[in-house]
Amino acid sequence: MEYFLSEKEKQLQATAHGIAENLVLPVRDEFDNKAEFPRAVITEMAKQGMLKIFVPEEYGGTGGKIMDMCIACEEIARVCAGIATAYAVNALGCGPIVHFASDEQKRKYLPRIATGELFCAFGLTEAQAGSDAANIQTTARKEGDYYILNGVKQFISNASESDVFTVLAATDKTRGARGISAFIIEKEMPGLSYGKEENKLGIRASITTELVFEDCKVPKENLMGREGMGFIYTMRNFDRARPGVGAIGLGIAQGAYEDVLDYAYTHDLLNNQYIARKIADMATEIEAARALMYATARMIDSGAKAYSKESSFAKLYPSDVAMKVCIEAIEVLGPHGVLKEYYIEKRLRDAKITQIYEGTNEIQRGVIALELTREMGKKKRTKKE
Amino acid sequence: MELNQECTLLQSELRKFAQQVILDKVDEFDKSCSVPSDNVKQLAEMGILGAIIPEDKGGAALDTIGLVVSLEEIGKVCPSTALIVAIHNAFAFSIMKFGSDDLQKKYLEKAASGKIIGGFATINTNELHVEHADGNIIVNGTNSLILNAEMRGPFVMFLPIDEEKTVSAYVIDRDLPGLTIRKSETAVGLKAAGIGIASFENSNITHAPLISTKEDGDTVYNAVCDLLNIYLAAIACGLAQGATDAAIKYAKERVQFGEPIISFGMVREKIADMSTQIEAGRLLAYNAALTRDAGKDYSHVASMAKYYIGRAAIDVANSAIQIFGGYGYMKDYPVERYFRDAQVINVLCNRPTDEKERIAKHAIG
Repeated sequence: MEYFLSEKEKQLQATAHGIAENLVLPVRDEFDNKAEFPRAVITEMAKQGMLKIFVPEEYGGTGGKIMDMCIACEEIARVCAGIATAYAVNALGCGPIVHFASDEQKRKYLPRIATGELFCAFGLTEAQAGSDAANIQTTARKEGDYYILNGVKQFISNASESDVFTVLAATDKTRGARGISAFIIEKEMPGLSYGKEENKLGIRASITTELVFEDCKVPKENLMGREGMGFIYTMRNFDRARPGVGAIGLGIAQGAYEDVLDYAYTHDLLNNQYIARKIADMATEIEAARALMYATARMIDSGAKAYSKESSFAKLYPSDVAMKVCIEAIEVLGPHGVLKEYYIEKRLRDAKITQIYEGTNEIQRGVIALELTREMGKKKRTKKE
Repeated sequence: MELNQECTLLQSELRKFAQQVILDKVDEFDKSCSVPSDNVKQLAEMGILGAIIPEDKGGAALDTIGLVVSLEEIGKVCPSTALIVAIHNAFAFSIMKFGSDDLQKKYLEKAASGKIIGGFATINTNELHVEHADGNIIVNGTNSLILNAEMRGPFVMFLPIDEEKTVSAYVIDRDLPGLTIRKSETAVGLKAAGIGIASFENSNITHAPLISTKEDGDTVYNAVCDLLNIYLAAIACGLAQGATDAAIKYAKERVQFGEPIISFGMVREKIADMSTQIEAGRLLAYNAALTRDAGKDYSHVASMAKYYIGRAAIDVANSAIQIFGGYGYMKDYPVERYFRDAQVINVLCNRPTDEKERIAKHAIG
């Protein structure tokens, strides 16, 4: 379908496509098998300007547009969603710096993030704070010119491979979500270490580790924005990042669909209407997901004030489509579909995470329902007046 | 559905076995891609390996429903172990139903006692080349999906030996010259079931035991698949129940937003859907088994059971992961394994689309 991408967007798409085909494709099995971080690939991606797209122009980037992130993530995930995740985590990690950090902080970190000199990640989740993200137990106690952080962050993507982190900790436990603050953490800070490394079903090229804070001394100038604003920053960062997860889901679906179409064509299965029906549905749903994702990205990029609901749409639907397409694709391939050699099972294992990370799809449905309730309330009130 | 006393006894015996003997080892089975022969032997002692074999051949001559409830119980804990039992019985069935007396004598008693564990090769004729030379039949090539290959026993295999490309069913003994079998570890799930890849290099099968002397190989294959469909449906029911039990347990313990997540509507709806799907699938599987036991044509009901619960087990395991959230994605919890195993069950024997076509054919008449 024609989406009238700008010349710049088309160029980015072509670059990402080239990287996926030339750099990611040859190594995707190896990194999935070994569950290893694809440092050389991400470094080369950075060299080709792929991390610049997360950063505004005045800080050495090429704009920080959601549309660009979606285009890039889809192309990489089309070939390997594990490597796409390892790449996209940088967007989630630097998002709060781009939008909520001071000018000084931005100047300190963003140019180096744009070039790939610094990899960055995001630390929110804890053992008891998954869907209930405000329930974090990590604390930040102010002592003179420092904050002292204590606690364990769980399931942190790229944790052991990143240089800079946006981390959430409670500065005032009595205030719940309003007592949470955001900090920029550097990996060299004393008291920061890595804990358990997870053994995952999929996205195995993206390393998932605990971030452990034991009396970690963080200079007070590394507080982001104001104390107590961390949770709001987090939610707004997620609003901007969710279409990127949708894009990873979409890329997985697109890749699986291309594989299955090729298989069905080569094996003469397209005159079987049972198969043709499945593939027609896949093509339709993938296009619907892409249209929804692009529309959301354009809406956010053009300066819309509120877009929580749309951003949830753009994560929920493409990730559900990704799962459905992969399961159906395996059915079309039959016994071949479950073998590594045909790669679809890998796509399915990867697809599953897109329904979970950055807010499970149940949380997304909750966000959507909450927004709808608010909109309805507003409508009713206006009517009365 | 009410089961008779024999079935409920068997059910509780197998449940105990699965819980006490297998449960703690399942992750190890999955990692090492095998079930230790000791555990398989224990199943022989329980009569499950000779379930389908008549008593005069040393078997337990269980009703189909008896094996179905057994497979379900094993499948709740370890679908791979259940598959080994199912494939072994399918192997015995093909010889019982279509093999000569000599073949029956040669294999059935050993199969009933678990001395040999039989395998089954899915039809995969594209990669096999059969030549006729000086009155000999020579096979070259590979068959990439031998079920129970790791059990090192003989297996039933289908080969195109005449020009019309119809297949003939053979029993392939493991000492066949030119045959090598290697373990396939590349299947996403049912890893412990010991799927293997067979390679033939100038293997002379002229004197290999031919099962299908009277019937053509397709008939044998279809008959075995009909039976396997019931078994696979039973395993899928067990798998789905195992995943659901794990999810319910987790949801009761996991506290978010100040309460156990089991109290949230979106979780409860999933549990309701999962339970309904399992109940429907179980009824279909039991119905297919009872239809077979009544001596009626059961091909279409077996297809329905396999097609329905095969896919439903994927959906159920998927929902179980979703209830576990991030934890469900980690190998520390069993739900990701159930999900992987379900993928394989769903495509074994025939594609779900092929099963649907068989159902449609029967319905249309």
